[in-house]
Amino acid sequence: MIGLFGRSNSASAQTRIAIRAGATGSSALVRDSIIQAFSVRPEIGPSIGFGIETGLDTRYRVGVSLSTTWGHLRRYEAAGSAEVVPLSTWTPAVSLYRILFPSISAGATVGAVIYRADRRASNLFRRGSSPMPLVGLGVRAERPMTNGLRLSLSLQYDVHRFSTPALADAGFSGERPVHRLSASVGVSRGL
Amino acid sequence: MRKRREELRVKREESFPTEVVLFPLYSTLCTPFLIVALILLAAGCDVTAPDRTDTYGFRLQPENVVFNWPLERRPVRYFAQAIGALPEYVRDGLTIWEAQLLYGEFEGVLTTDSAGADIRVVLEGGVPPVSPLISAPAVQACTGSTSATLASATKLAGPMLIQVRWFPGFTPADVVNCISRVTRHEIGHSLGLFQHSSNPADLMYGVPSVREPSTRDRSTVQVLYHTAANLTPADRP
Ligand SMILES: [Zn+2]
Repeated sequence: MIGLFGRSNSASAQTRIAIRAGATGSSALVRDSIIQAFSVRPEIGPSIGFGIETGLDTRYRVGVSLSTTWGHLRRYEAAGSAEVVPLSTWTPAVSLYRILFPSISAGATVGAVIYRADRRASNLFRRGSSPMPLVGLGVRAERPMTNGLRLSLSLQYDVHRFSTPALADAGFSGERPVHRLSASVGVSRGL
Repeated sequence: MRKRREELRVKREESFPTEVVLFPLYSTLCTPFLIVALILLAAGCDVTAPDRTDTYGFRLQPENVVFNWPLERRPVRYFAQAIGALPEYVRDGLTIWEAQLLYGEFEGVLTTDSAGADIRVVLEGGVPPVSPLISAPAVQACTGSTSATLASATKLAGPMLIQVRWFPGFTPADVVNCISRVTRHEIGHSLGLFQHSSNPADLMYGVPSVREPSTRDRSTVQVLYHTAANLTPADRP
């Protein structure tokens, strides 16, 4: 497990592709009060991701990834919850990880969140939304499998500021910090 | 056994060299940067929700009941008579009212099945003249009404009916502008805005002269759709 990319100087030996699947939860995108207080947030949804990463040295590796999660945006109030609109998010990101222990690495991520929702009905994404920059932290545990594959378990936290043109049109000002937490299981292999 | 431990230690040291040239660069640049970025993103975000205190009444009088379309009836079905550009004006009206709501409270669609419609929209006065919509002062070249029958104190008897009537003697542009504007106003009634605003700047003013919902229109329909209804629509056939 020591040295994810081995100790070869060959770039090809140090480069790995990975696929991950898991679940992502998010804090509220909007908190509002009309007659009574409510919050609007994506329900915990499945996520998948693809990535490619390469070692910089024996401790550090850098990677790019694209992950997506999908489900429904829901409105939560005291009496229950109601679906607002199907919602998916796409997250392109660049990560820098450091190997802390032989099988554990931790790192930081910068990237963007792109929300995609149906624009037809009444919803806060009716006028679309711009990509929102994010930063995050993550920790990953890995163990080798057969045929050069590695199994990984990842926990990722990230935060971004959220607003949409429809919210601004409706009189909202400012941006809300949105925190996301995702857990995933993945497999990687060398190129 | 001792030799084996020695081998392991050597292997470990080889894999984690004590001197990593790049480490100071990452630690001095990346870590503080990311911590600062996290703090900036997570803090200092002050979100202000809109003030929705400036509204007008929407209860059906004199029964004093509230009507809004329940979530399970989304999308609400509108049938528009195929005359002139009426279907286009209805679709346009649904779009502008849906845009006043943020949380999936209302969705309307055009249907060609008049028997299965929740709201029927008809145009009276014959085939209207053809003209593009223009931005011109409002001329009252048409009138409209929205009606429904009560089956009981808490339930409608059937679909709502929106009637728009245009009058001859006006320019084509004034006629089509009026039909479009009044259709938007009547669709506002069909959402449950059963009273008129007293402000001419609002689309739901009794004789509408604006084409777009105002802030007061928006606040009122938002409050309506977060108020518990005590009048329900008729069952679908
Ligand atoms: Zn009216």
